[in-house]
Amino acid sequence: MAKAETEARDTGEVEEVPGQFGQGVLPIYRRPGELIRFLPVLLLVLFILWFGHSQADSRKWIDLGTEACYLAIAAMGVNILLGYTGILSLGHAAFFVIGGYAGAIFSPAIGLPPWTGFLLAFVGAAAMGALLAVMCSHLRGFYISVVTFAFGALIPAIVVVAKDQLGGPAGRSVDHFVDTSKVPGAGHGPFSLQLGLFYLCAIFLLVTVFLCWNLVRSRWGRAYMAIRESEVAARVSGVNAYLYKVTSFALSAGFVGVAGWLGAQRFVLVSSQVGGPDQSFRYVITVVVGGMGTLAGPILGAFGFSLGFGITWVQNTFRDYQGLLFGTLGLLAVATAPEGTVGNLRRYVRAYNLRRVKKGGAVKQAPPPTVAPELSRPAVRVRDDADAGNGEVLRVSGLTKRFGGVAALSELDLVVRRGTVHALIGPNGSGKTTFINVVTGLYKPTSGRIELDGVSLEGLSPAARSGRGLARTFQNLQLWRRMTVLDNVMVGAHGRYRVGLLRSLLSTPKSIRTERQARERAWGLLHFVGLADKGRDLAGTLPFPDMRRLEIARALASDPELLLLDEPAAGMQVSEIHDLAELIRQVRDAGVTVLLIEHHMDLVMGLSDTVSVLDYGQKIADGSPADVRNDRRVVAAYLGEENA
Amino acid sequence: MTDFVQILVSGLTVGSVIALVAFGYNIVFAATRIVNFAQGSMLVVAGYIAFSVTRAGVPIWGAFLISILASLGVGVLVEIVAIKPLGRFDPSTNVGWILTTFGVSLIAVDLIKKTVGAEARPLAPLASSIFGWKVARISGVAITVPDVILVVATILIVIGLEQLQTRTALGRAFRAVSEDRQTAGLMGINTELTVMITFALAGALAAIGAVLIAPRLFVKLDLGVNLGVQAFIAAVLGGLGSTRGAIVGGYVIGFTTAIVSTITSEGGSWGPVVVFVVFLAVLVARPEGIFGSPAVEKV
Repeated sequence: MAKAETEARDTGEVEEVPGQFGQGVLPIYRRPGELIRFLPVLLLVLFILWFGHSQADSRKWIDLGTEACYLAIAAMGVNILLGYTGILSLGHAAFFVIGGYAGAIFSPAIGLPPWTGFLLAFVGAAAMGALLAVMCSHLRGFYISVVTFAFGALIPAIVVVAKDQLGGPAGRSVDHFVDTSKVPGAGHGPFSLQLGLFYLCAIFLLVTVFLCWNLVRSRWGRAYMAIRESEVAARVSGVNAYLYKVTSFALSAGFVGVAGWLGAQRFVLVSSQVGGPDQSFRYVITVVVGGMGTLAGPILGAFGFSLGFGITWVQNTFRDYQGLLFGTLGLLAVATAPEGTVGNLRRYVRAYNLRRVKKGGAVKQAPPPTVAPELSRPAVRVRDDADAGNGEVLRVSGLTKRFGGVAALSELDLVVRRGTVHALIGPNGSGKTTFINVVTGLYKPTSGRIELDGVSLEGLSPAARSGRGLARTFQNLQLWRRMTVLDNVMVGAHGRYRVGLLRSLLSTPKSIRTERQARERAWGLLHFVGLADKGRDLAGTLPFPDMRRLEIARALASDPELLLLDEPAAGMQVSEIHDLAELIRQVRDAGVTVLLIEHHMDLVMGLSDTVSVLDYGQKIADGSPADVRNDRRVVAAYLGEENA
Repeated sequence: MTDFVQILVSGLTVGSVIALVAFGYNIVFAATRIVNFAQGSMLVVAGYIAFSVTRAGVPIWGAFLISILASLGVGVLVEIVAIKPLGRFDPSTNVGWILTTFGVSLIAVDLIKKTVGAEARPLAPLASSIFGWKVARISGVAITVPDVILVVATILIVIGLEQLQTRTALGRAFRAVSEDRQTAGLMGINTELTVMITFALAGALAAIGAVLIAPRLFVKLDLGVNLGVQAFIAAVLGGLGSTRGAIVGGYVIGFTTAIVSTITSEGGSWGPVVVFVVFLAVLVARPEGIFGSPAVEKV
């Protein structure tokens, strides 16, 4: 598949692989610095102002506009989880109910002013969202959706049962609602309460846009997308997938909770009616039709659906048949246009750009920024306990890994010395990749000890091991294909440039500063591996050898002490292998120790300081390339006993 | 004693009703690892077909057969509309099928509402007496012939389906396709046809369920959602893809609901809460269910 895409890109004939559900939407090649990025936000603000002004006398339209705004907030919340993190929740409408009760009933009941209800709505819903995420933490894909579905069905059932506290099937009326006639712009007309609520919802929507805008351009948003594209790669790049999924769930639920609080102001009632599975389904369809994984998509979807119902014909036809409308649209969207409205618009833009390229015109794209030379080299993180290992970076002793009855690794001892290129070779199935998986923490060893710098790695997660100085590439490429090349490297530097979630959401000066440092470092490493001029392309559109280089750049971005390369030359041509050898040499010269798994013997013998040979999970030889080449057991392992 | 008999009768009959719907989920899941969320709606459609046919003067047995035949087609239609357009995909990670099958279910319910109407319709039982025996009373709890037919038929269907899945070439094809669709295709199995057959069978099961259930619950629209959700829970509890799991899951829900509504004075409203809590607990502790096999994970 990668090959076909490569050819397509080079010849410009096919544009890209068609989108599939759950993969998010391809970004347009980004051109940072252009103000046009803010155009959709400006349009949204203008639309809200025009709508509020021109429909001020129409109770019906103001009411629908209010609904559109808070549903857009809910949809943006759902989108954080569905579009960016790649998790389909079928129970998010429950958070609407939770937010309503927490913000509009509980918050005033404990004496807080009605205005501040949104805080408790957010916190309450986010806490429940985090709880739900913890319950789902060991599940994946479909089963997460099932748990969220059960949760989404449980909450309304609880509301129905809890008559005294929550009001039972009829719900509870909101006694201390927000006096929205005091919202700027509400005026003094007969509908000032409704108009004020519309503006209140619009303000909250704009705040949500601001927060989400910052989020998806921060290390948090990038980590979410990395989890969506390849969770394994995210974990070994230093992303604590568990934490990030929990925060994604919590944020997502929190926004829906705020929407629930706003909805409670509109109905002056909180009930389970708005929280059933059919509503959750409606949220998802709103996001899918608008465009998953985009900021504009959920807003477009929510506005389209809510305001669409203001059209008399639609109202008359579908008032009692909303399922027909949403079912049909959902079906059509998922089956024929999984990228949604926004995704398809972007497709046209890209197609237009590609046509221009084919005709010889250039697509306006800023050249890659130049960065300071010291940022364009691999670096080794300076650690306090740096030389604790006595010149040994990695020491593995008695390492055994069993899969059922098969010992993929048995009693393996291995020492990798600092500043060397250490090759690990062996016939297919000899346990080389298993070794890397165990060392990086993806597999738990059956027994044995792994030390980095003399400190045991036992019990550490892959992300924590990345933090201690391990980095790896994958034999079967695990790039985040629908993210840009630059973003891939930036996620690689995830643990090096830390910003908290709150700072990222608010885009504080510290967040902006750190973000800029991370971006410069990523550009530097792209210069180093020779991919700088493709930095704004999507990783999935790179030619195959470039993908391998990108994996190396991404791994180097964590400033590792030890870089584990899993068959980096697989599928490369001779000249490309030559370039790769040069690159690995430069990595070593910069001080990064390299453990190389490879089948190309020319590469291994020309590059390595030490070679270890595995066969059936056991080390059969260890030494300089020349020694190993002449070792009887090695020859026997590769060619059979008779040749030895 | 009355309570005990009441719980036993109610648990068995409600459990059987749920299991009958859950079989439909399982037969599709066993071959495709997809849960057809339109199963509940297929049951409603089948019920209305049977009702329309009986109204035209056909006796219930005839209507039963016609409904089964028509529902085979309904199943195929669902597959063509909801699954075919998705092309090739990995159902465990690419979950678009959840939305398409759910969407079909919503569409079906609204179409019935628009054309046939939303009223509950009666359907005659397949037999109202066996050799003149009509109803038994144990401690004052009535046990009717349709109830007995329902429970016995459900158990017979479990046995039949298990035989189909383990003893026939078709059952082997189901399992092969679910394990690895590509390899199954290379081994000469027509995978597209296999998937279609599972949906057709799911349709037939929906028709059988509708006719057996109707004497207790009538044919009505909410069956699609209410029963669909409960049956889905039963299928997951028992282990998706496992037929005996479906009946065990059905009984778990049936008995839980019966016990809870006997204990609490509120009647039925606590039932769903307890069922959903049990469901969540099982999912979190053992997502593959009681009889299910965990999905294989590759790194």
